[in-house]
Amino acid sequence: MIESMKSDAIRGPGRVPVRLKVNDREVELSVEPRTTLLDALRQELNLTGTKRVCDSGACGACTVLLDGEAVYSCMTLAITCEGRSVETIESLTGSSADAPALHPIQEAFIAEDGYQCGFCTPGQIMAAKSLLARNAAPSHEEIRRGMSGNLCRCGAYQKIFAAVGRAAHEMSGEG
Amino acid sequence: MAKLVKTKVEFEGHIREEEVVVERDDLTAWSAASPMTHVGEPRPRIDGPARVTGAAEYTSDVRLPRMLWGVVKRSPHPHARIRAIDTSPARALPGVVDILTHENCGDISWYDESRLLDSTVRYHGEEVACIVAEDEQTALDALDLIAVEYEVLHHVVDIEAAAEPTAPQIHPGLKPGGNRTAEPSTYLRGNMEQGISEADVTVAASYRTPCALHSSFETHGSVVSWEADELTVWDSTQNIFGVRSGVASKLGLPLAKVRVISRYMGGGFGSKNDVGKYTILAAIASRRTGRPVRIMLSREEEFLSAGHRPPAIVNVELGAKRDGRLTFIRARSLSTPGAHGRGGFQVCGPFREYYQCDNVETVQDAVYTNTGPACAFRAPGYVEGTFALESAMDELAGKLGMDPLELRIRNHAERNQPRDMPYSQKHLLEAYEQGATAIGWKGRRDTASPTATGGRHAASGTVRGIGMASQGWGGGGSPPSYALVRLNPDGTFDVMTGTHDLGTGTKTVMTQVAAEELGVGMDRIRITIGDTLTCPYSLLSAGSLTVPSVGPTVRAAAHDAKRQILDIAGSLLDVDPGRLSVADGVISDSGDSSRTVSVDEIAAKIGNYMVIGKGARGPNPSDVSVNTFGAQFAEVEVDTSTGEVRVLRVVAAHELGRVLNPLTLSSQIEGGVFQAAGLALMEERVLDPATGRFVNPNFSEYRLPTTFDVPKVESLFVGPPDEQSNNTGAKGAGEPPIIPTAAAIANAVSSAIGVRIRELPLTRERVLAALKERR
Amino acid sequence: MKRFSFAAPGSAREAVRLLAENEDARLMAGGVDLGHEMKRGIRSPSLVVHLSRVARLDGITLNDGRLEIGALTKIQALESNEVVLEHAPLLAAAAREVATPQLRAMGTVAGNILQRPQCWYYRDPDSFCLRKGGKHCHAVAGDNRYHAILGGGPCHIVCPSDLAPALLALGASAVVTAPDETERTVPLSELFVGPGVDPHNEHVLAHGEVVTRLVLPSSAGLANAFLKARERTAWDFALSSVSALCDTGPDGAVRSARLVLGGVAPNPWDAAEAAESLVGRPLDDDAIGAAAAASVRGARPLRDNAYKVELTQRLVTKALERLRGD
Repeated sequence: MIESMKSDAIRGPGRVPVRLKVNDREVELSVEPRTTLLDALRQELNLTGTKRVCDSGACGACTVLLDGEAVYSCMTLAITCEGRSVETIESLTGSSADAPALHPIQEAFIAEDGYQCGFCTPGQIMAAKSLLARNAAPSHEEIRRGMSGNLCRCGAYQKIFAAVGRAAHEMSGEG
Repeated sequence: MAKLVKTKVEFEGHIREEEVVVERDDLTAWSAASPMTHVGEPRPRIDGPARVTGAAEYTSDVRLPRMLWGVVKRSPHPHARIRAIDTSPARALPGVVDILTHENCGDISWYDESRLLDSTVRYHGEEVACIVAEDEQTALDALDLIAVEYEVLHHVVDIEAAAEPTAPQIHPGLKPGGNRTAEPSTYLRGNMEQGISEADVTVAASYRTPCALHSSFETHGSVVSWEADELTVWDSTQNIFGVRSGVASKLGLPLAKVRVISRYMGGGFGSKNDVGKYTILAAIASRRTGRPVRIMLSREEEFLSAGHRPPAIVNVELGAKRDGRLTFIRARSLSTPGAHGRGGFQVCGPFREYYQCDNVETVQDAVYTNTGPACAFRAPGYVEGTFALESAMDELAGKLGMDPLELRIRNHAERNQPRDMPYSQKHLLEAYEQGATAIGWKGRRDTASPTATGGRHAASGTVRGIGMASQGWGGGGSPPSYALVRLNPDGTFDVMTGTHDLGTGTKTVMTQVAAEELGVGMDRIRITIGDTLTCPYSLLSAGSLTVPSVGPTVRAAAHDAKRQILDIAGSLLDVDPGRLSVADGVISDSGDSSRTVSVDEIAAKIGNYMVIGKGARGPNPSDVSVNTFGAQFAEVEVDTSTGEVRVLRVVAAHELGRVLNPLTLSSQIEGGVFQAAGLALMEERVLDPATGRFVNPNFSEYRLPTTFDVPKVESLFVGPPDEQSNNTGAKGAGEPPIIPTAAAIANAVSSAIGVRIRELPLTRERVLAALKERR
Repeated sequence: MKRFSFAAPGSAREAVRLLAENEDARLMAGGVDLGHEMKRGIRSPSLVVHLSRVARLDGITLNDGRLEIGALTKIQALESNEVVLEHAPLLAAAAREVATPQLRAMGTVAGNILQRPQCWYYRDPDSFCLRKGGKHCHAVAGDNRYHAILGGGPCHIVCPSDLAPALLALGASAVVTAPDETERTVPLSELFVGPGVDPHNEHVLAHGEVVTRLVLPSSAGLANAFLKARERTAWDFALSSVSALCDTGPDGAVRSARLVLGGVAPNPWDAAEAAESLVGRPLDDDAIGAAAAASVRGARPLRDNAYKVELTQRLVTKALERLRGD
């Protein structure tokens, strides 16, 4: 049990309990203050869909949604997510393991070949989700801008643009 | 019946003759007219759901019970001797389980002239020690607690400086000395004096390309686990069998005791062709501790130690008659493998092959430098050489007052001159024509040519230009490669082959090939790759080898399985199996279409009596050279006030034989173009001139192209299936798209601003300097 | 990253107290820049005081023609906020050029203007340079292609922020709470300090002082331009940036002008002489040329960065042409 914290309490440097919501589930982590959200997701919760690539906020592969906003989980301390809601790539898929229902953005990435090695893909998809939540019908330039915080070394950009455009179309009900 | 035959094998510009075991390969190639159901269709990737949900398990995602986390301590100096290492404070840290140094890791040789952990370090980032701990953070904390006392030695990181006789010696004992990795590799055909005397016009210039880093998103790394005396290695590799033999040889293990697995991997681009030190360090630590060990490099380590395209300087001389025909080509390249290895990339390959010319001399030279070890990076050598040759061709066209494309057409090479044999087919002229039409070459104005007056002004302060360049690459594939196809009792098939999917779509196109040959739907096939235990041997996935090597292998195995199924169907239907064919999972008699039996029925009938089809890659044709060809055209916009270059459009026209999957193939093309756009515009390793340290080993300062830096790419595929190449008629496409792009962009910039820039990347500084020259 | 303790106080007063009580405590807002330094081991505070729970430190308001921007306002808010778009469009333009959507959602306005230099020697954990307490600036003998052309020496860093030059051009001030709970207002022109005065810090704030908000006069209706040159089209620090602001009278003559450069000097560089030269005359080619030349007067480039002098002049020219409506 966590005692209710005094607001100016000094916590750590050892492991401290941190409560947050991950993919709609309440979880209690035991992490050091220095642990990043990325490492907490991958190493404490075994949610390995979110990838560590640059570990310095310079590639976008670790993008998750924090209270609905796309952020780099590698530059976010897990302890600062206390009481907040985190969505990772694993939240997008339906619950049935046999026939996971894919999110329209995921379907669009498959249909348009919006990936190659796939390592940046979870981050791309979370960035796309954030973009489409703000702008349901982005123009080509708006897609470029909205996706500009996610690098793809394989160079799938052209097809990522197409995938985001396709997903917008599908999600708007015009598909 | 198996027999030994000789065949020529081409790999990244090197030709060698190999004796190969050949089994039956009586399949005739699919022709251009063959009706196709799956092959040639734009199929989405069969592993798409795993990749878009995060479910795909990459090496870096492997978690084993009791697994330890390993990290590597590296040298901060480019050249030093280790006087002493004190690991005791690190060992005392709770959670630290073991530490390896050169004193306790065994005497394992590396790069021929060094050790797994050596007491001399020769580049910033070279391995010094390895820590394994209960968790990653503890291992990282322990890194700072290892105290290393270095005797710092003189270093040299610049290739020209390293070639000077007074340069610090990196391997003093090694021949031929003077930091040279070997005697220069020379090539000569014809008579250079004659070629020079025949020339009406000549150009001579020096071109430079930077050191570029692969920057695969998944770093290099392994997870290893021993079970008794058997070692399993999950590795982010493009060469599972190569890693298996590397691990076995470094550790003195029988091959059968080593299993290497690479099911999903996050990019390689040539950097993951060999066994890594991290794998061996992990294996040793795992044996010592009795627990699985994971070592994945950090991004900084990836930059420092995991390979790169080395910098190159190429001095070029070209001579031509007034009508443009080349009378001689001379090229001399200087590059470096870094501090270790032999290098040997074919920087001068393009000079020997691309154009018809009787008199050609090339010299490739390389020197050691105190920099990280280089390795193959997507068309090693050819990207650098093509930038030099194709820039020089444009300069020659400018001097001749000739259209640069026309100059290339006039010097079209009908035959493979270095190999002195015809090509299986060559449709480069079509690529020129289609690419030129698509980009609007005819409307182009060339400021570099004396006949033109200025670039096309798109807007105030900006000029546009169009440039092009050619590419030639192997891409014909080779043996050995093997596949198995098994029929299950429910009518589904397992396909097994020890190849890799780097993000290229291998699994998908191989499934298309198998489905096509078997006459069943793709959903009936499950393919397994990337496992040395469960899959038969296949080549490394590099050098554009995979499609032309593994594709025909999978087809042969599927064909073998189909033959057996048709034999069984023949006896069931009481007809000659030769009259039977299969489509959509149904076997029918060509003479009597009412007589049918489904593959499912056969499978159910025979139950667990298994049909196992086996396929092997046959030898390459002995009398022709199988190559890919192409041309890329780039349109750029240059802001003449600020020197900003934007690549607006690239048309990529390539002859790659049969297109197995236009969706994934166009992805390959686009990716190659975008990587080369990075090389042309922004990517560059920076070494500190004073300390020799790598100062930008991160994605903030080593810039990769963003969504705003990439042009619109149009991919065009020309020519028919190459029926002489292999039974699918398809050739490799990994490398071709990256080869000509940087040259095409540089030529476009030159066309736009009227000044030639001979060094990449085209930074603001270089473009502004060029614009100043123009004024 | 070294271990540290963590506190997320509920008020600025508590934050100030925690800082005062802990000499090597550091404030964290968006966490991007400090997190980066901590990951590289450049700074290893024993206590991180996180400001996320401090109320009323974000938000944008307009009072009596003055904008007040809470220190923790996210950069992305500046891009699209109606008040900013109307009363400080230059700031909105600069915000749009910062980093990426994710970093603009994470980073705060105060964090952006107070971010540490990007100099690759400063950011190298193995390099003990002048700014970190060493003896020499490693850029002098090293690769200095991105370093200062103006105001450099003995350290040659450049201001990495896009917002700081824009805010300086807009005449902004920082409101600062001190450990004794007093508030003071520091004009941005006095907030930053060059390496000649202090080679270790880029600003005059004392340990324990917290920026709580920025105030700036409305610049509604003034012609403005933010231009940024970088090696990469997006997600890159400025090789050079120009924040330009100009008030032109009905006769076409310039009444007042501001020109502030980023990426070329250790701090936002107020090219006041260049801006002054424009006053009282129309923005014609001669005036623009003279101002562009004046903007880099006194430049002392290092071995590798002379190109930035020319680049900056051209960028100033382009910005002024844009103010003219070209």
